[in-house]
Formats: sequence, C-alpha cells, structure tokens
Amino acid sequence: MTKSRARLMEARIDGVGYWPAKKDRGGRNGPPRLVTIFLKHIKVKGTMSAGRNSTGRDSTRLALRWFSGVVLALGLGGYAHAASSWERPAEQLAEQVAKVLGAGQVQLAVSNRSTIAAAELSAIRKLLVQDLKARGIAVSGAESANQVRVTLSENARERLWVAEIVEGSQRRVVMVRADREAAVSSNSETGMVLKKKLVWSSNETMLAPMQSPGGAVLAALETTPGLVVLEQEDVIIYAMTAAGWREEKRVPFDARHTVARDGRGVLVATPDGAGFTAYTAGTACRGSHASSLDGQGSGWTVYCHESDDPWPVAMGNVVADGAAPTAAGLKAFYNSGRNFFTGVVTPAIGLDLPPFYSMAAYPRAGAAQAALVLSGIDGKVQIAEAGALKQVSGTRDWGSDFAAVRSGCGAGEQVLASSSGEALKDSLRAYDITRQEAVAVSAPLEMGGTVTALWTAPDGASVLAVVRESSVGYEVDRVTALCP
Amino acid sequence: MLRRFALKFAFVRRIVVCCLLMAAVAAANARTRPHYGGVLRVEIDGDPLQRDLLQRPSGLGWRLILDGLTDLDERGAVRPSLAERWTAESNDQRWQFWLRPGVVFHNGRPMNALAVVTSLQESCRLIACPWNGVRVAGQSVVFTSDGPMPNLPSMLASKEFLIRVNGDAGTDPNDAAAIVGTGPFRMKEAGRAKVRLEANDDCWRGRPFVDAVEFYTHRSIHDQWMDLGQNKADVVEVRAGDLRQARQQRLNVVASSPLTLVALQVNDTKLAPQLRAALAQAVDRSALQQVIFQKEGEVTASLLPSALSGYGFLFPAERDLSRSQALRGGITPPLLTMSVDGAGAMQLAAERLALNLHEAGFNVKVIAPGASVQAIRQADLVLRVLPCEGAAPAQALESVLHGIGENKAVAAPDPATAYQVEHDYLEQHTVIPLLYLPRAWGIGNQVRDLLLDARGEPDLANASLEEGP
Repeated sequence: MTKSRARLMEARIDGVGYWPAKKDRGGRNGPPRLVTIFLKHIKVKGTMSAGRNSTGRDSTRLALRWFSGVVLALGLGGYAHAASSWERPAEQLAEQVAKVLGAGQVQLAVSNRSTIAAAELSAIRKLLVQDLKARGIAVSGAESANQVRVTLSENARERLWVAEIVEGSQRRVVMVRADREAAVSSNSETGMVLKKKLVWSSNETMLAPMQSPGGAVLAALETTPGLVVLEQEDVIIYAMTAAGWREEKRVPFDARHTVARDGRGVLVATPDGAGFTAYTAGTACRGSHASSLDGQGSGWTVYCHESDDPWPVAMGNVVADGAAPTAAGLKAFYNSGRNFFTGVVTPAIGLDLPPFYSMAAYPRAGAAQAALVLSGIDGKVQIAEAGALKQVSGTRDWGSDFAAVRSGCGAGEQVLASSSGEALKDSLRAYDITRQEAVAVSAPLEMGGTVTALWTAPDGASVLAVVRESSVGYEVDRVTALCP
Repeated sequence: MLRRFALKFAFVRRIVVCCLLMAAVAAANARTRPHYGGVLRVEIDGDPLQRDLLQRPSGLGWRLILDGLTDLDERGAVRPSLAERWTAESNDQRWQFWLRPGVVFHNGRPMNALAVVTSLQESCRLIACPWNGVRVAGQSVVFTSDGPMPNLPSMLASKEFLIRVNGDAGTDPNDAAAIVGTGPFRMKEAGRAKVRLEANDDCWRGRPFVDAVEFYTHRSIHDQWMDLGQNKADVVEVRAGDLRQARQQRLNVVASSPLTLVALQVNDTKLAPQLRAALAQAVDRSALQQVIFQKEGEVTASLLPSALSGYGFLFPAERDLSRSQALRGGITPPLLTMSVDGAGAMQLAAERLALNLHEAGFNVKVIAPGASVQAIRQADLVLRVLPCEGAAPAQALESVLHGIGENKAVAAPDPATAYQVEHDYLEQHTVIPLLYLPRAWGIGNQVRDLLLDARGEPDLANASLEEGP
C-alpha cells in the first residue's frame, strides 16, 4: 500500500511537470538525480511507517506525513529542477577543467556574478564537485596547491560560467555557455482573463543562410493553405512544417512603393478562407491558392498593383447612410504619406469623421447596427452611433490600436485596446463600452513588446496582434478573452 | 451662522475641485501613434558634422543625411540598409553586397553600384580600409581582401563607410552644404551657429516624422540645459559626469547602457613593453569613475563591456602602484605628452591620470586644449573615446580596434576565443582600457518616442513631436 502510494507520488510529481521527460547522461528517461535520491528516501520512510499502521491515530499521522512528504517533494522538485537545468553546463565546465588539469586534487571556489539565485549556488557547487570527481579530480581543502575559481557570470545574451585554473604562478581560463531561461507569465486576479498564444515569430522562421530577417510586419492572416504575413515591402506566405514555419513564397512590391516609417496594412481573407487581399500604403495585393489532388499545379498566385482604394476597417452591420445597413463593413481611405485614415469612409455613414488611426465596429445589445469606435489623431476616442459622434470617457489608458472581440462574457462583445504607457512594453486590456464610457473588465495582459497592429480575427472571437520586440524581432499573437 | 456658511463653502469647494479633476481626466487624451510635423531643436556642444582626432566622422548629423550599406539595430545586430543582402566566399575574403533598387540620392541621382564604390574609395583616402579592393558587379558591390574579413557587414555600418555623393560640380566636397546622401534628412543650411536639415519625403525608409531638425551648435552644457528648461530646445546633451546633476535638476534624461570606452592609447615607439605595463598598473580607474565621472559608468580593464562579454572580471582593474614601480625597475622614463579626445570631464580625467602616473615615477605633460592637430596626434599618450559597436563580442572588439586604428580581423565564434584575442592584444599594453561610460540626452516634454540606437545616439528620424499636423 505504502509502496504503491510512493509510486503514485512519484507519478504525480512527474505528472506535475517539474522536469521534462528527457534522457539523462546514462540515456534513461526520468527526473533529475537529486529528486530520484529524494524519492527513494520517501519510499523507505513510507515502508517503515506501514509497519506501525494499526490505529486510527497512526493512520492520521501517516496521512499527515504523506501530505508533508508531497509538499516537501514538490518543493524539492522545484529545487531539483533548478539544479537539473545546470547539469549540462556543470558537466561541460568540469570536462574543460579536466582537460587542462588532469586527475588530481584541487581547491574549488564558486562565486556568483549573475542573476542566478543565491539559493541555487550550493546545488551548482555539488554538481561541479560530482562532475569533477567523475573525471578524477578530487575537491580538497587548503592542502592542494591547485585552485579552480569558478565564476557564474552572464552577459546580455547568455550566461557564462568561467573557470580560472591556477597552478602555481600559471593561470588558465576556460568557459562555457549556460543558456538563459525565459520566464514569461501573465495572469489576472479578477474579472475576464486575456490569454495570448503565439501564432508566428520572425525569430523562429527558417531562413536561408545569409538571408537577413525581413522588415516591419504590418499584418498577418491565417488561411487554410498557410500563413500570410504582410511586411513593409513584401507579401510572404509560410507553410507549416514539422520544423516550424517555412517560407513558401515571397512577393516583393514594386520598388516605387511608398514605405512609411510607421507602416500600416490590412489583410482580409476571401470568403472561402483560401485567399486574401492585402492593403498597404499605395499598394494592394490579391492572393489565391489552387490545389489539385495530384499536387501538380497547386500553389499560390499573388498579384500586387498600385492602389489608392479604401481599406476595410470595420466589419459587420455598421451605421449606414439612410435606412440600409451594410453587412460587408466599412472601408476608409488611408493617407499613404502619413500613418492615419483621412476620415472619408465608404459607404457614407451620414457623419463627418475626423482623421483617425483605428476603427472598430462595436455591436450594441438590441440595436440593429453596430456603433463605430474610432481613435482620432488628436488622441480622442469617439463613438459614432445614432447619427452623432460622441467622445468616450475612460480611454485615457488607451493607445491608438484597438479591436472588437466577441467573447460571450458580460455584454458579449468587448474592445481590446493597447496601452498608452511606455511604448516599449505594451499591454492589452478588455473594455466594455456602456453608453459613452469605457470600463476595464480585465487585467492588463503584458505583450512583451510594442503592439504595432491589432485587428479582429476572421472568427470574431479573438484578436491578432503584431508585437515588435526589437527592430528585427516581430511576433504575431492571438489574444482571446475568457469569462471569469 | 458663520460656521454653517463655512461648511457650505467647504462643500461647494469640494464639488468644484472634483468637477475640475473630472474635467481634466475626461479631457486627457490617449497616447496616439506618432504625429507628423514640427521642427526638432537639438543643441550640442560641438558640430553635427564634426570629425574625431583621426578625421573619422563622429557628429550626430552624419547618420541623418547618409546611409551605410548596412546598419545596426538597437541591440547592435547587423541589418540591411542600402544593401539588401550579402554573401561571403573564400573564407570571408570575398564579400558581395546586392544593392536595394529604387533608392535615390537627395539630388535625384540613382544610388547605384558605381556611386557606392566611388564613395567607399573616397572613404579609404581618409582612413585605412580593411579590404584591398572594391568594385562594381552589376547591381552589386564586391569587396576582396588578402585576409578574412569576418565582420565586414558590421564594419560597413560605421560612420566612416556611409555612402555619399558629391554635390553639384564645382562644390568643395568638404563643404557641409555639399553632403548629399540617401538618409532621412537633406542638408538645407550649414551655418556656424545653426545647421538645418529638412525631411526627405522620398526617403526609402519612409519620411521622418518631423519636418526638420535644427542643430544649434557650440552651445555650452549650461546654456543647453537652460534652453531645455525654457522649452527653447527639444534635445540637449548630458555628459556622463553630469548625469547625477541632471537627475537632481529633474531633467527628463534618456541614457544608454555603458557603451563608450574611455582608454589611454600608448604610442609604443617611445616606451619599452615593461614601461607600458607599468603605466597600466599605475592608473587609478576607480578615482576617475568616482570623482571625475560622478560614479557613472563602469570601471574596466577589458576592451569590451561586461554586459557584452560576460568575462570582464578576468581583467583586474585595481591599481597596483608597487607592482608598477617594480615593473619600471628604477628606469627613469622620458617626459611623456598626453593629448585628449574631448573637453570638459575628459580634460580633467587626463590631469588626474597624469597625477597617477607621476606617483608611479612617470613625468607626463597634458597638452592644453586648442593645441595644433599635429601636436595632439603625435602625443605619446592619447586619452581616447572609442565607440563599441556590434551585438557580438567579435564585432564589438573589431570596432574598438578599428577605432584605435588597427585593422585587425577578429574571428571569435565563442566567448572563450574572444577572451583570448582580447587578452593577447592587451598584453602589449598599447591600449589601457579605463572606463565604460553611458551616453545620455535631455529630452523636452513635447518629444515622443525618442529612443537611442546601438551607439547611444538619439534616433531623431523616428522621433516625433506632440504637436499634431
């Protein structure tokens, strides 16, 4: 019984995911060394307790011990995980030291100049001692003339473990890289929760050798045959492979194409989901995919041409001039020399709109037509409904980009807006718009960079965001709103 | 009665205050995308088109007017610029750069391979270039060399190799008004006190947000800060040694990480290696950092900043006077002259170093500001400010060595190799690294999105002003 509990415990800890199922140096799968040792210890303890398991009191004690064992094991599991992530660099450094020093005795000193927590140092030292011992180097006290001074250091890109090997007056240096772990988390304590999922990243795209990463990403669209990415000077189509996104086709615009410093663009899917229309300053492109059963003749056809046609800015039933609302949505003329829409929309809606950066259709409960929310170039957020344009309050924290999302929570539809704070670290937040006031209904979701574009996904239930992490690193994230 | 009136008044006052606050909140507008328009006023101590001691372009204006074949992103990684792509062959001894089509110079002439080759050949007349030859190959440019040039794309991003074309026939190429490039701004006015650059509407990277940048030159730091406070300037200089004071005065400061190397360059013809080693042990870096530069930046005995290499601690930076004297071994060194690349705190730093060296038995005379260029260049010791450009240690190391005047190719695929290259070079003691300093700028309230590039210079082409179009 106790043995099976211990097995269960082992399985549960493994199932929690405190360590990846990877092969250790011996080639076997399983948890790191320290945890294996600890679990064996728990099993022995459990067996001893089982022998005295005759009264209810004993069973309570056993349950308590079992519970505390689980808590301790989970804690140690985390600790052991920390240790496990250092196994490889410790082993590599010991290997390099052994190459220089050969077998013998050394004094070992470990110091930390990195962001590694002080609590992890003893585990790292233990690993180093073990790995040196495995290579015939015994760590001793002051009696050894040889010294190994290990410094855990780091630079902006990676961790660096450096060993200075001092033999008499001679000093030699070896060093190994220890990868920095990325830890990104976002959560919200109350209300609606926003979740983001990476769709595409320029850093993970497979590039040909010597090929530089592309320019600014303006928009992206998931189609049935692949992912379409609109960049400043190209339309790129990616196909998903087992190794990640692979570039399938790249169509550059004409060299005369106007490039904007704050470039913008829109991608709209065709009704069958297998094609697209792309709009950017002075250029429009149409793409269609043909597929055949034998694979012969299948592939993308993309045609780009100069165009000043209006861009789709708000889909759904929007306020139209006259009685008939339009389900096809609204289009707006873009100022190709700048970064905003002129305010002229088609079809006309019976209102003079100011120049604006973004627009979203926001359905109102009980109303046949959606209202239009727009962010003016003066920073004001206004709502157009019932033939009037009114300023929306509570938008002080909004940036210029927002999009509507159909979450089913609360009023059913929310606006997700980028933050107006520090441009390098944007966040998204969901808002309900009640009459003329925007009310935050979620905690901010950190996006890890600057949100440069935001639009409603074709399904309407999520938004897609282009996030710039540096001047060359872009990613496209899908953000969904989950009800509390 | 009086009490009742006072209570009523207090109630009304509260309501008025609340209303005013609510009105203020309602009127506050959200942060928007960048606006177009306006004139950005930049005040500097020097000249936007100035050159350093070795006649290399060092001012802020060069990159606004000219582009290179490559550029660095904000992290220092190489990215395409006038060249769209490139390839290396023959062990990095032959490089081919394909040019971006459709780019035109400010005077309307097309940017083509011939113009690029002519510009690069002109650059090589002023400074030593790492290649043996550069030639036209269709719409591409080919560089060849006897030795490998592993970091050529990174090197081509430096100011020395920006591409320019001479202006109209008959104009002096050294005349600032004749500088014609493909950059976001074109030269409009080049006076003694003011340089005005206007937005290039046809810039291949897109028109800059502001209509013009006006540099007010040769302004003292005091005057610059005064003007920033009175809203007469949008961007001003903040020297590393003045950063603390700027913060105390509540200036809106944007500062880079420590990325500019202050180093003592030693002319090796006059001093034996042992004496040069004695000099390196005698300098008191901590005193320089604590006193002259007001605890800003970081002390270094390494050519690369620790944030880039991670191994800077392997080069001891502490002063060891007794070891310095032991290395000197009773030899009386000749009188040494020291020149300074800069003024203000740099001049003070030179005086301080002369004192350090005097304590170790060296007799050093600091050349006063305003001395002839020849006297400055021929000094035994030169206190230099060296740019460190590049995201990888090898590129950055090569750029520092290039700044010193050494065209040494650095092939270092891993930190251990970079350390070894640096260690071997510093063993010669021809350069003594002292400090890494940040670059900082004071920013006006109306300036938006002003970021610093990988060199710590303000990216004025991507900055905008709050005033709308």
